[in-house]
Amino acid sequence: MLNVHDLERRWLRYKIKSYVPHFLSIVLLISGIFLLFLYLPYFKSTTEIKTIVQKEKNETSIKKTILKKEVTPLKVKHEVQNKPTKMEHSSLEVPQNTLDHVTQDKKSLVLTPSLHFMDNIEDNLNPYVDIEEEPIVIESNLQETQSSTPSQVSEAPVKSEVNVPVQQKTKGLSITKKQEESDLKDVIRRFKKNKNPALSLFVAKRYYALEQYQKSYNYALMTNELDKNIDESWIIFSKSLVKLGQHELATLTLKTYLKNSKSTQAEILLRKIESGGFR
Amino acid sequence: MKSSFYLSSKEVFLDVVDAKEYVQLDRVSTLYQSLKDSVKKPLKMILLYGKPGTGKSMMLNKLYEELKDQQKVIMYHTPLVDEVEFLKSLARDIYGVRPFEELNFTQFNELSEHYEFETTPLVLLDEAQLYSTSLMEKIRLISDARKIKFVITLHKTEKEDIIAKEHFQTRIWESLELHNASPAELKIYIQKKLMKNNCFDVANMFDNKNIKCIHKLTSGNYRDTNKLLDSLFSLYDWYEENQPTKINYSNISTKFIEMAAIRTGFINA
Repeated sequence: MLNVHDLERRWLRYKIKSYVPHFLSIVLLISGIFLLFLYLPYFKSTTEIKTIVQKEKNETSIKKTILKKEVTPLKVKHEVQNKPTKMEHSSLEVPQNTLDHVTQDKKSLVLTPSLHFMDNIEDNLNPYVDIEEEPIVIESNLQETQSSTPSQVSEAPVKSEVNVPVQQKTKGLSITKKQEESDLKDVIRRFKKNKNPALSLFVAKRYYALEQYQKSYNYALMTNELDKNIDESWIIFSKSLVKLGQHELATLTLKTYLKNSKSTQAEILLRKIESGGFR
Repeated sequence: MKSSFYLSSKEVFLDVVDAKEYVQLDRVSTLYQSLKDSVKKPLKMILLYGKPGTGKSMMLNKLYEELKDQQKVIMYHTPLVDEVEFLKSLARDIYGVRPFEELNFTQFNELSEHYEFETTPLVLLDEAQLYSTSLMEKIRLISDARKIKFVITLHKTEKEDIIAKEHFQTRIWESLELHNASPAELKIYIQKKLMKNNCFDVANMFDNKNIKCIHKLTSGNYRDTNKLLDSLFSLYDWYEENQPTKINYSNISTKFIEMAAIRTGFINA
């Protein structure tokens, strides 16, 4: 007997059963795609971070290799950064190997023609050193620096001469000083933002002019790290070292720099330091 | 009237071995021609084998129908399991002798010596796997004497293959294997069958999708296809009478095919 209604019911059950695997596979596929889209950005970011980290690693390794080549300046930097307090008291402990380098360099030093005739030009080459403002700085820093470097004050007769009018204009000058400090802070802030070596060089020169040699040394060092081909930066760096009592390191730095550069200013300064003309 | 149309279509697929219903398909036709050629050769035994429902009986029946007017051909649809009964049947059908007493194998051989035929008599044995081993041995000996030629059909199963190996391996000169139909062959089979019975409209309702569905359910087995289509047209007949709106007259409904498959047990639902 043909029971079509029962047959239809059974057929419906069969169809539902046959569609279940298809339905499940579609659901799984959709959920898979959904999860993929959900976690794709995460995977992307992690891979990006990994690549950035890898890149940075590579960069640092490259930097390290570059810095290794510049053996002596690097060692000087590290020494100064690690032991800043010692440097202030001009009793810097120079590593034995750097000293060895210094002695080796001394031994292999070849005499070259004197360039004293360039001395007159030197002052013009440092446009940032403002003679008019210099007395103000000296006055403010004199008390600080007198105990550590008394010879420097006595060595600057011109400065003492300039001191007289400064004392007359105390009020007005104190205003400019504040302005100058705020300008310097502004430049430092800008430098921290964009890491422009020109700004750090400017700051280094300014601090040098203000006789804050530790700071000028630091900024010159930063400038050298950012761009190792700026003559002025190396000169300020070496000058600051001299002012901090590190004559040997200063000469060593200049000599190393002159191996890769033909800077006349650096040569002049080196000769002056060696001859004791610059202290 | 449409209702009678589906009923007549249903009758087409009744599982009856009738040579008139034999459908010629490319592969089957080639096999049939090979069988006819083998019969003409002086071979002692011809084996026709294949899975159940592949058309062995139908082919044997067709051969009988074609040769019965040309030579002495005897066909046994149902196996004669008893040896004496089998020999007595052979004596009666081939030589026209009706022995009153029991006829043993030696007596049958003596009897056969007295008769000569222009063409060796042909005996067609369907479902030979049902014959006993001893009787199969006798059949082999009779065929060796070249007094009677045998065409036997066997189901191709693992067990029956062993029987074939034991009894016929060295005796059979020709063996032909029948296979299930391919989808293309199945389409021709269904449509030809329907058209033979003037069911042209219904024959045109079958498209490739329907055939694919039927082939998937029956694996191209002719007997299973007949069974499924018989059930399908029963359903169509019912819908035609009770819910004619559910019938699409341009195509055979896959739903109805599946329902017929559930009814016949091809789908377990």
